[in-house]
Amino acid sequence: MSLGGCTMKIFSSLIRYHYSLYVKTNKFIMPALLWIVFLNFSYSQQNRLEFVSCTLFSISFLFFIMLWVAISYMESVDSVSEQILLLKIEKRNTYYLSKNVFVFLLGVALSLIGVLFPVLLNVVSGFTLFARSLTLWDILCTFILHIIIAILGASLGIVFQPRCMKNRKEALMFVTLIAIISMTKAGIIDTFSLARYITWVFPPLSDIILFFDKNVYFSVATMGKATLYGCVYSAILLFISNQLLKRKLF
Amino acid sequence: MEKQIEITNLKKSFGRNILLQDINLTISKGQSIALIGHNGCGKSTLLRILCGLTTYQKGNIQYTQKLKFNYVPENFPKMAITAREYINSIGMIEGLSKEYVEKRSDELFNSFFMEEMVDNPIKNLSKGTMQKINVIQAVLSKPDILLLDEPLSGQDVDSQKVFIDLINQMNEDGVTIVMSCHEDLLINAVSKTVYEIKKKNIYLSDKKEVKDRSYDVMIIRKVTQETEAFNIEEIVIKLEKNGTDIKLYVKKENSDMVLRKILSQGYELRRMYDENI
Repeated sequence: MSLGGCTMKIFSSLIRYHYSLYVKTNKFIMPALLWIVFLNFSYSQQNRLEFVSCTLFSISFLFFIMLWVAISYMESVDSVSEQILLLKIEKRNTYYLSKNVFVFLLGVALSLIGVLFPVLLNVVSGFTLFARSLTLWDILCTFILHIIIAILGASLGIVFQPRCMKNRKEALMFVTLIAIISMTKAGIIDTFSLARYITWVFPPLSDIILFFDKNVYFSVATMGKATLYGCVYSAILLFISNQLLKRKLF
Repeated sequence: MEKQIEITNLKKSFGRNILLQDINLTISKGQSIALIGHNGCGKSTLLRILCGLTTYQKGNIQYTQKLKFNYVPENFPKMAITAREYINSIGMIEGLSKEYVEKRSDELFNSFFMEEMVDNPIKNLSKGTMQKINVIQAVLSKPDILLLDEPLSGQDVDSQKVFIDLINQMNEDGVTIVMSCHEDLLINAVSKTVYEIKKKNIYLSDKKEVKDRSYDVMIIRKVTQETEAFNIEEIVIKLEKNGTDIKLYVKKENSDMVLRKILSQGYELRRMYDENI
């Protein structure tokens, strides 16, 4: 087997291992249930909705859900079994990456639900759920936005995992505060314009939502900008968490 | 012997509490080392430092080549998956073939008398059985260095023998063994070199001293009221009174003499066994 093939085999074995352990913890049930309840609440009793506004509302909620999923997943990982695995794998980064990718896959699953739910509901309601008819481009854009924000929320949760921050009370307090500021920073800047010099360090959830403010359609330029912001910020968060993991060890 | 790891002037502390200081140690290929010392003296920490799982504040660790470590931690986690699922996953993650993992794990499960437990969730198994899974995951592949942290805790006598044979075989095959351990039985059966960690430092220990810590334990009882007072205190290591029974810890070479004296002084022997203290 080639080196690349062997690495892929090890990586997929790691993902399967994470899945087999996580699925037994039942920790995914509550966030998934809350997500479905949210979607049902958002879409079931209304019609003639603005699709872009609905997407923005949905991704904001998904950000918090994924933060919860990432933190609960990272807290469920046993430190001793992690030590055993780190020695089994040639490159430690492969292990850390596999954990992150596993959380992102959970995010993709939730994003898929978040996209399919309104689309199917629209079909069932005789295409009256939204104010305009949906195109494939709309569905693709909303799916991409859901995934980007899911990864952003998950990356924030990953930085605050127990190995990076041992004091769990403080970790949960900080992460909640950061998430709230990320969501409301546009409002904060409106009230205190000087706050813009500080709030730029927080995850760009509010910035991405503002890109689409009052838009009725998804434009390529705005989508590109949102993707860039989300991906770069997530990459920075993952880099920070990787450095912390390398320094702190056990 | 080919050098694998060289530790020089290593210092490890937790906050202000210094655990290890000025540690100098060389580990060569094929050695079988036991680390002994009181609880909390830093044996487990040193094992984790060796394989790069724990940081240290000062000093240097030099690896002469890229080494593969397998590790048996002291406490294996309670997992919801079964022993078979876990071992298969570990084998695949190590990059071993599915056929090899299945064959090797079956051999090991059989050797450790675990055939009937492999499909039970690990969290439902006893501490000793979990420790066997812990050992199996570490011997599934051949590492350069095998780190064992109290590997026998909770294992039955037959499994202990299997474990000792397995580790000795690996050592003969060129695997370096570094083990943190309290049991003299295991140290004598596996280790060729013994280091003791005391006063934050590491000292080469004479293996004979370890053997000398094995004692005969005699439980005796007064037969008549007219029993004489003891005059064997100087050759008894430890004496414990428990109701009418008296427990004596005696060095093996003094056992015959002590036995003759207590019988002649009006005591009867209730039970006798050997123990490591």
